[in-house]
Amino acid sequence: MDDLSKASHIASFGMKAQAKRLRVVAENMANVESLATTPGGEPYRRKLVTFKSELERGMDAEVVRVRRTVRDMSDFERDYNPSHPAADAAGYVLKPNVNPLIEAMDLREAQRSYEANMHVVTISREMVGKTLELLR
Amino acid sequence: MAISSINSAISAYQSAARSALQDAPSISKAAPPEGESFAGLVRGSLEKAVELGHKSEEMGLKGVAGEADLRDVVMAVNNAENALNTVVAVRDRVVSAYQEILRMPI
Repeated sequence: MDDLSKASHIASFGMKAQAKRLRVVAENMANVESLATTPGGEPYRRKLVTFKSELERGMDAEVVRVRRTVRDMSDFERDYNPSHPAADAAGYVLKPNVNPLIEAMDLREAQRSYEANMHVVTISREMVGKTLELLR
Repeated sequence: MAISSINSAISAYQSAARSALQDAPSISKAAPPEGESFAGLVRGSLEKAVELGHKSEEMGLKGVAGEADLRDVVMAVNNAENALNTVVAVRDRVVSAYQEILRMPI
């Protein structure tokens, strides 16, 4: 495989990884109000993606993949709301440990990273085109 | 490797043009070189391009059905386009070289 094709192929792995990350951010954002249904139960726990580099044998290049999605084990916030079905004996309801501001930043970061990888694809495409232009 | 096969293709055409001039005794008739011919080169690379084109169509259909990753579809189409562009560029170049030889004053 040509190095320029390899470059865009590697970048496509980066785009895939960032797309997965965006999906996880979307899950967190959507579940910001997902509470438990049983008294004292746990609400939605924030998810995180971890990346890893992996050797792609066919290309002899290191590509990025999502290792796995892990749960954010930080503490839940509490709200005093005795009328809620998930309220514990003291009347507190646990809220998901999702901070919309952090998720917004993560969203931005995923977008920028995706765009950077897309730029690699565009540039390598352009370079292939220009090289072939030499024959014309 | 590709350039050397193009060179051999051009020399094949040169020798073909020479052998066409049967009446001119001063030009020696060279036997066409063994190995890849221009037609073979074009056919081989075009078949490869067509195969990639089929793959990209397949991926496109899968993408529409929501089965394939969008980025894989884009990459497949991109690869097919690249392959076709390369074949067309090489063919154009060799054909223009051939025409140049045909226009050569005898």
